[in-house]
Amino acid sequence: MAVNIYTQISTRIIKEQALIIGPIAWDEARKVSGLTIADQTESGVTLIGNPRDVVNRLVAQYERLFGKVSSETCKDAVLDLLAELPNDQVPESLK
Amino acid sequence: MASKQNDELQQINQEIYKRNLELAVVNKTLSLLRKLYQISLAALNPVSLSERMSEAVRDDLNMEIVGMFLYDESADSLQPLRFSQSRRLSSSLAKIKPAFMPAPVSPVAMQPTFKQVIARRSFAVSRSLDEVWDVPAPKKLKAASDAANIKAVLIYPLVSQDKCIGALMFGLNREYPALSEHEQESIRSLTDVVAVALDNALLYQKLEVSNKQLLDLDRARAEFISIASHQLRTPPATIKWYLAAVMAGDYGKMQPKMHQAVERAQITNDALIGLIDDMLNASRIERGKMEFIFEPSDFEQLVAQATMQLQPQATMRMLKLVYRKPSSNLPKILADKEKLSQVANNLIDNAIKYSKAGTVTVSIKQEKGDLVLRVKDQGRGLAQNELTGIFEKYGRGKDSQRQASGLGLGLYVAKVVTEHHKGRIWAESEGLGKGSTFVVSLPIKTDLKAETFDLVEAQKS
Repeated sequence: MAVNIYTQISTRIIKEQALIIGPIAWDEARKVSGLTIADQTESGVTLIGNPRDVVNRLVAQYERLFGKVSSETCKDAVLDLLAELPNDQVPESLK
Repeated sequence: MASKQNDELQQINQEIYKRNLELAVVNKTLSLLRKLYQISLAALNPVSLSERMSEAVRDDLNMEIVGMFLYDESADSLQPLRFSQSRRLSSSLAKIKPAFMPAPVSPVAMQPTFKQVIARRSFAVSRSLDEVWDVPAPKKLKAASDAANIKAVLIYPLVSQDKCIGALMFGLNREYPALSEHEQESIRSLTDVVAVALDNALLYQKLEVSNKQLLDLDRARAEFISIASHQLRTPPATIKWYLAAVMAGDYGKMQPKMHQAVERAQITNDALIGLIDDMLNASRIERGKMEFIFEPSDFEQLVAQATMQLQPQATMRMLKLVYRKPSSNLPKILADKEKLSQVANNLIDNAIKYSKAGTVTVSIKQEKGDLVLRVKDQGRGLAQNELTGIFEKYGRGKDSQRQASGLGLGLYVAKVVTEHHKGRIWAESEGLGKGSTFVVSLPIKTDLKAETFDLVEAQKS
């Protein structure tokens, strides 16, 4: 259940970034360790290892290229999903 | 050097990202507006419009609750239409007892948040749902609102044609100041679209009610005409019977002068009967009660008979009524004799009525697979724009009221009857003052069966 919501968070972040920077958002996500993408749907995205760490690495990947604004975009995109998680389960990068 | 270039590239990259972010918000807004526009075309009543639009906005903008209110100015109340809630909010609200339902706000003037929206037409921001609604258990509503991560509740007035028609509410999982300028702008633009769509839906609803009332009135009128016409028809029918007996000499031999007077009375009486028959038929058509009984019929004989019957009328108006008998026998067709007689009668009668002098020529002949009746006159003629309109109900030609009596139903009845024989009827004229020809073309071979023509159903399909 918890893993599922991190998959939702990751997919939502990638899709939101794709709206801004296009398909490159998926290419960048593929470079994140622990994240495998079979296709561009929620069921096509898999998280391996600690899901919070994977999400943190994904946010950092975009921030490295596009700066702080991009991590704010990630946060805004998943605010409703974060509400499902207890505070200690929220990835550090999205707090 | 390379590091400096990298920094510069990084900066450019981030600047482009910011611009793209703004564009992405605009794109999202446009995409949502397009969706709302499509919904406005498909959802024609305010409740379903509210349901679908609220769902689309909440879904696209990841909001917790979106809903519409309808403002009733006379009662100063806001009636909730449909609200779309996130699953999280629904499950939080489900825990509240008694169950929470978006309640009407009345009077609006007593509720500061809504008063600001309706009276001042400015948007209002609250932190939680309990600040919006007066409920018996505000703490529970606040708890549910917090549990659903609602950080701000925005309420916008829905203004269309300078009139406040309702309010649109958004429950956000972000505080209002956290929204970018573009996001705030996009919420404003979608509010405008929703207002226009709601106004149109309200208008459509009013039109539907008015239309139904008009249809009811129309039916009542048709029923009335039918009953009245039946009552009206009895006296002239009796008079016709007596006049025929007088003319036949059943009451003794008449002086020529008296004979002429009775003959005129007979013509006038027949015209009155024809008029009432048209009214009856038109009302039968309107009520879907016109029955057709098709049987092998001699169309040529029906036309010859109608011409003969109208001969005295033509003579009285100093007109020549000529019947051109076909050179060979014409085949019989499947037809409702009584109704086709009336068609022929109406066309010839019209030609006589609208002619001041000259000849009315009636002819019938076979043209390929059709029997074609032509009634040609040298009367007032028809302008180009009258050629089709005259077949509509009460669709009399220009100036025709001054020229002849009648209700404008004869040609309408003729058209309906002809079309139910799978035929066509039309008028030809070279213009005003140049006479006209009315043509009825009926197919010889048809698979017609007895039927009741239901106009109401015909209009639906």
